[in-house]
Amino acid sequence: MKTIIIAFLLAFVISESHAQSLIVGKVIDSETQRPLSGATLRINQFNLTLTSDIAGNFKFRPGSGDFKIAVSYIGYLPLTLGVNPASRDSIIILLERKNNELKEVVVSTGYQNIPKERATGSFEKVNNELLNRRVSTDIISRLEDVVPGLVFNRGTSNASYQTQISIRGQSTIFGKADPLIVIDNFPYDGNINNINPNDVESITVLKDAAAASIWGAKAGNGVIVITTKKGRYSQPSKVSFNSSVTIGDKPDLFYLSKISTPAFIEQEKYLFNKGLYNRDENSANKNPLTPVVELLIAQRDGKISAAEANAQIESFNSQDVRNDYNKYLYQQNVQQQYNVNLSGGTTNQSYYVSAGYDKNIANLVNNQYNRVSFNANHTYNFFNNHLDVGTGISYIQSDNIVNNQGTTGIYFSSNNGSALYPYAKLADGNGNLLPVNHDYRSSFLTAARQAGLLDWTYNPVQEVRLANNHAKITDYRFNFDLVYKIIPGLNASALYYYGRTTGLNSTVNTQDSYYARDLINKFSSVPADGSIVYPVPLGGIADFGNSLAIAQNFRGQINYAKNWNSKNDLTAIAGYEIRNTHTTNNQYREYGYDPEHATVTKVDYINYFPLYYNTASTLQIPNADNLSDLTDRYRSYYANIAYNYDSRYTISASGRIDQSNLFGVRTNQKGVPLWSTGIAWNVSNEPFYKVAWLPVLKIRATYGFNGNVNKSVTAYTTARYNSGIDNLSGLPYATITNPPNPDLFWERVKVVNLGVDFQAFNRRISGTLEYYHKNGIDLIGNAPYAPSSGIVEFRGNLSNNSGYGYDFSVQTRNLAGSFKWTTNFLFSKAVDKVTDYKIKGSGLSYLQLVYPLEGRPLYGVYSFKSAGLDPATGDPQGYLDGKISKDYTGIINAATPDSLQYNGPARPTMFGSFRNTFSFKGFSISANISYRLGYYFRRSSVNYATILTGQGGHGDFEKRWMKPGDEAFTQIPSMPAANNGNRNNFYMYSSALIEKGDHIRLQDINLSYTIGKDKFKWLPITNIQVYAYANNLGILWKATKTPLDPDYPIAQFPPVRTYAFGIRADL
Amino acid sequence: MKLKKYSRSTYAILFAIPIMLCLLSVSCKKDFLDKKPDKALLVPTTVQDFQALLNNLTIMNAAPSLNMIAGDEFLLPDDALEYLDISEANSYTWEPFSSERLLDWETPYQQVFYANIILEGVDKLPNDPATQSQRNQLKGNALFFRARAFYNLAQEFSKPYTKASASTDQGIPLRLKSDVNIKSVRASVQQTYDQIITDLNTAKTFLPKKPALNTMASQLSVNALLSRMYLSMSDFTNAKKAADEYLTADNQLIDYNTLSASGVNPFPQSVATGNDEVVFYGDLISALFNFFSPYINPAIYNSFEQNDLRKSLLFVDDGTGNFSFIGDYTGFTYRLFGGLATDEVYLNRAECLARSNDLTAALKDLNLLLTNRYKTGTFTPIVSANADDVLARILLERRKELIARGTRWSDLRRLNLEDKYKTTLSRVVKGKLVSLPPSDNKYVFAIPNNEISGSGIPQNPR
Repeated sequence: MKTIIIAFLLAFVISESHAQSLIVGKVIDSETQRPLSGATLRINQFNLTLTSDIAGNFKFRPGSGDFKIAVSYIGYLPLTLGVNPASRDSIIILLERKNNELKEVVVSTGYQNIPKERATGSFEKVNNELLNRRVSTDIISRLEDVVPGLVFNRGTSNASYQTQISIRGQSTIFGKADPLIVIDNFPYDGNINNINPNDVESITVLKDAAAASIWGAKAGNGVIVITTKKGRYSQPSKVSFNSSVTIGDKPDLFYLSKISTPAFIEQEKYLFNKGLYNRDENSANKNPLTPVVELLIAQRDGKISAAEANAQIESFNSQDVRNDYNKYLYQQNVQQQYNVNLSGGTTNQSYYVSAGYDKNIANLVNNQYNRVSFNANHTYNFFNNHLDVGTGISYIQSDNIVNNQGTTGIYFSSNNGSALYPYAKLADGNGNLLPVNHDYRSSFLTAARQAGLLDWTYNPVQEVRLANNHAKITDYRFNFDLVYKIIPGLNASALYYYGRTTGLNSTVNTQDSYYARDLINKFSSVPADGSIVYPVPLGGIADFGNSLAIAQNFRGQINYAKNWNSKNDLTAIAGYEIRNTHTTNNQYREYGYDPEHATVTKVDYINYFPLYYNTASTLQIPNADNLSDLTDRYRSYYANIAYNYDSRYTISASGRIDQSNLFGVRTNQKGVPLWSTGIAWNVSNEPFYKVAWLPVLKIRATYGFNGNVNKSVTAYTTARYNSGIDNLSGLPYATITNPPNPDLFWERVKVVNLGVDFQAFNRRISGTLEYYHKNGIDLIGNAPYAPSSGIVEFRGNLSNNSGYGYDFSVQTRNLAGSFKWTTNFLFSKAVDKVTDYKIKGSGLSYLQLVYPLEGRPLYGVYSFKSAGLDPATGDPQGYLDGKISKDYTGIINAATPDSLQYNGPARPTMFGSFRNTFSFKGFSISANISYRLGYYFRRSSVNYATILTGQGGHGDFEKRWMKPGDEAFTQIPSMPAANNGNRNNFYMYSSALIEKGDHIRLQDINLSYTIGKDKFKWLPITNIQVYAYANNLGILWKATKTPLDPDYPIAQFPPVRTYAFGIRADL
Repeated sequence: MKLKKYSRSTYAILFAIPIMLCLLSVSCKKDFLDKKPDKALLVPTTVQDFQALLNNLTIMNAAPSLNMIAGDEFLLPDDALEYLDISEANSYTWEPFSSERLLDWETPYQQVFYANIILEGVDKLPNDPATQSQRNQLKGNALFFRARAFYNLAQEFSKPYTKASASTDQGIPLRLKSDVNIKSVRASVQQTYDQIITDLNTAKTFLPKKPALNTMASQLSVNALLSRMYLSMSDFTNAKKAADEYLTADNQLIDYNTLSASGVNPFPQSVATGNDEVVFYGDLISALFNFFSPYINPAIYNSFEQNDLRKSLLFVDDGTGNFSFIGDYTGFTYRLFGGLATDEVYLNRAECLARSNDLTAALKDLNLLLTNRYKTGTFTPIVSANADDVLARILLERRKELIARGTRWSDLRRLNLEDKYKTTLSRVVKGKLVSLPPSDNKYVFAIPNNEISGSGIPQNPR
């Protein structure tokens, strides 16, 4: 293999010319900027040979005239440099590592940078090139499929999670399950989706205790350290530009099976005859009825003939509202991204300035996301490199416009349920928008209009067009860093961070919006004189929310690094930090809102008003005011030390004490550190090591503890003032939330990690294999308490869990030369289980909730064992006391966690990716295949509760058992004469609906073409790249026979396929 | 720029000093970590905090409701049974069933827990004359709420009071401290009622004569509860004594002629607007039962005479020929009244008087109540010299007046102890006749399983 050698040479000048004065210089690594001690400098003109000292410095007094310095250093490319002494008295020499592929990887913990070669812990670095392989608005999604052990929990949407990421399984039950996200030096609490990926240089993921325990109580779920781009000393000014456009398909609204319109109408007729709609028809609340039911009523009452009714009903058969949704509510999405940055530096200052703009037009019509970001950071050094001062300012403003709630907002509020009839029409053939039946019967709406009320019809598409909802976030981050070199090897740093995030939410419902018209009309009354009284005033209704989060951090740290006898290498840090995060939030509502004149009208929140549609009921005007005020405080002490002998043996130790305002004094006083230790042995550096085919072999082992934060508990008897006042008494009131628990403590995770790093066959193959074992100790869990004590459950450090797994990553360079082929293969196994949990729930709780059970993973799939269908009736059958049974109530009541069938984990236990990259000249194509194995999901099917209440439901209805013999080809139960809730529940949670989730998918393909000045001298710029990227390409294989995507079994539709095109240039 | 050796350390010191000062100034500030993580989070320590706990109506003013479902006031369409909580369905059909959890057990003990936290907290407050009256109020209220919780628990989970066996019958756990780690044991029925009486009598000394707001306790509510409790113990002397004391202070009744029938609850919301008869607001724990069209037992509905205003004011035809009850003293439709009101005290006293053969006085109370219930001019005062007739009429009127108040169950339990008034309850459920004989074990509810497994107290016989 031919190594491409790029000589990297840069020399910088500090003004003033003194002939024959002293010349000072420094030799440093071009990548890490670490000083290189012992470099040889040869100046033939003066017959002079120098060696750089421990700090990389050298100095000499030159003779007259130009001269050349030849610099050499083992492992680095030799360099010869012409110098005109008249114009310079200071030289910085940057040496490039010899083999580009072997470039020293430096990982960042957020406290220090460590060469990966000397690390004992489990670090995974994702470099800039790999981050840029994906095209996305956010940074976090770019970690998918490139970090072993890191998995995205797809298809879940738990708003309390900042990310949907798990690193090596979940090691908490009720605590924060997100990895800690660190930007440069400090944890970031803002919305991570707002960080512009173009400003990110690299990401390091800290997985085990040795890597992460420096973050102490917050590190239990792993740490993601984002390093942003910075200018470098002695770097010419560089302008980079990146722009891309991503276009996404329309979603597939037919992804989830639904009962067909004709079948739905048939069912409506059947239910009409059974009298299901009588309650709605006679309801005091003027509940709406579907067009078919209205026709059936008209026919029954003799207002229209049977033939007429049938003809009209017939005409609905071909209508499917999903086509209208597709046409009027959804569109292709378009994401545009533009970013430009400027960076550079001289010997004593560097800078990076960037500006970015993103504009995403969502799949949902009228939804948009816009983001503007600016970033500027500067570093200066003073006093001959003794003091570094860094400042950074970042400004991000985003606006998330959600005017279209999709199909969820378009409901139908009858007594029976809220599903919209499938033959609803959103527009007529000419595209004129149509109202649909929504909250009230149409005849009532007509009468109300005649009485002088506002138009009361509901037009879903019109609503989307009228909506005006913004969630604006403005995020400022400000850094001020000082690093002072006290003596060689010893420096002290002080870092200060100030982050300020303001959120401004507004939902403005103008008077034309249904929301406002409905509320105004609802409260209106028409006295005898025909005038109209409006307790809810005419005008718009606006909801506003303001939030402000201020984070402040201060860190003081001493760093020490010493190398002696060129064999001993010691690094140590110790520091102290404090952190304060203060979040306030207030929400309020304005009635009679007039945006033109910014005026509002007062309303009476106290009294009850009769409702127009049912004067017998009374309501208060809804009040939506709310306040909150939260403070998080931490004080921490930490230290880390690593010693390396002769590049062969490394030992490391790390410890941290955290104190916070969460758990009260007693926990803080204990001051128990979370600590870790590790060893590493570079076997291949041993003199005795002679395995030629395996030139690099390193073995690592670490052990230690990380912590988890759980904000739901405190040490005191606490009560919570309920927001607002009691509706009855008008008095403020409070609820006791916690009995006292003075023994509360951080959750701890004990981690053992064993790793092997290797490079083999002339470095054609390189990789890492790691095994880990984790124990969650003192996890916050619940235990049942006798209710006579006043509490039913007690939450404390009561639970444990454990997990283990492997992470394997290997890179093979299959073809080298002008045509290159590289393969990256990642495989991870992550298994966890709850080992100690005091409460056992009822059988149903394991089926319906995430409920911890000893011996099982936290996320498990359970079911009632199915015994197929009764051949005589088509009833689903299960087992009760070991016998086949149809006593559904009995089965459900008798179900215990042990009697339920445990199908397996709900989250993938094995996952990874297989990425091939081919390149030729400037072309490169890379395809990523990802796989997820060893897990199960529950699919949905027909639920007769909705079928028998005219709500429609799953398309399985049409494939149900209808006559004896059908059980040969269907598992779908027959329709019972009357709804039976327990029969529905039994089938819904029976093993017949459990599917294996295993699948392989072609996740994405990236294609790029790059040309650079190095090859094409005529180019006016350094290099330029055009790229194309396609994502969510499709499933190649799956275990389930259903058409479902195993990661999105209950989603309305899986993520859409996207295609991106972009251009990237360095000027 | 050139630097000499010593100047480096000078700079080092110059640099280090501000850092050290910075560190010290923050770390020495002890209160940095004492900041509350959430302002809404409250470690209750002040008079206002304890008052706020007391104001938590949803918890503090709730009363058990399964007894109403198990009683003979309401019937339910068969299909509704499917939707009920399993404990409600089993109460309705009198299954010998024990639930995993039971709000009727948990909520009163939550009240006891709150009351104990308030009692202990108030005792720790400084003896400041400025807060004296507030502290007394809090103490009196806490004792009243605790007694009310114990009383309500005793009605469902222990046998009715009989003097002969009260000291050996299993009562309920009497939690008198807030420490959740104290193990529960069942007191005897005698100890249970003794504790209620002690708490109420002590409460009376701290409470005002009348409540400022009827969600709070007063001497009136103490007397009303005492009268109700003594009646349930068949201690008619003391029941009358408490009723007398009550009616001396407040004897106001609503004249139903002032109300109009509109198909909705005719009564004003008893907290916000005030209801002249309600001295203490309480509501029955929300049960699904109420939302699935329970209808009034036709036997009760038919016992109202045509001129009885209650017949038209309190009931509406639910469209199936049955009648829904809409006359809750809460003033809401789906919230059943579980508090204390003057009409009940009149009926308590009338019964005590009748039992002591003071028929004139008994009928005076009864006639006064009924005059306020009938159309003006249509009520003929009852005159009778037959003690049994008078008592029977009073008991009937009691059943008619106190619908869905959560009192019927206690009445059934005590009357079943008297041969003359023993009743067997029965109803048809899905075509099957089920019944509850007098003094059946199921007149004492099963304690929920989570209590049995948590504290190991003995279960009630099934």
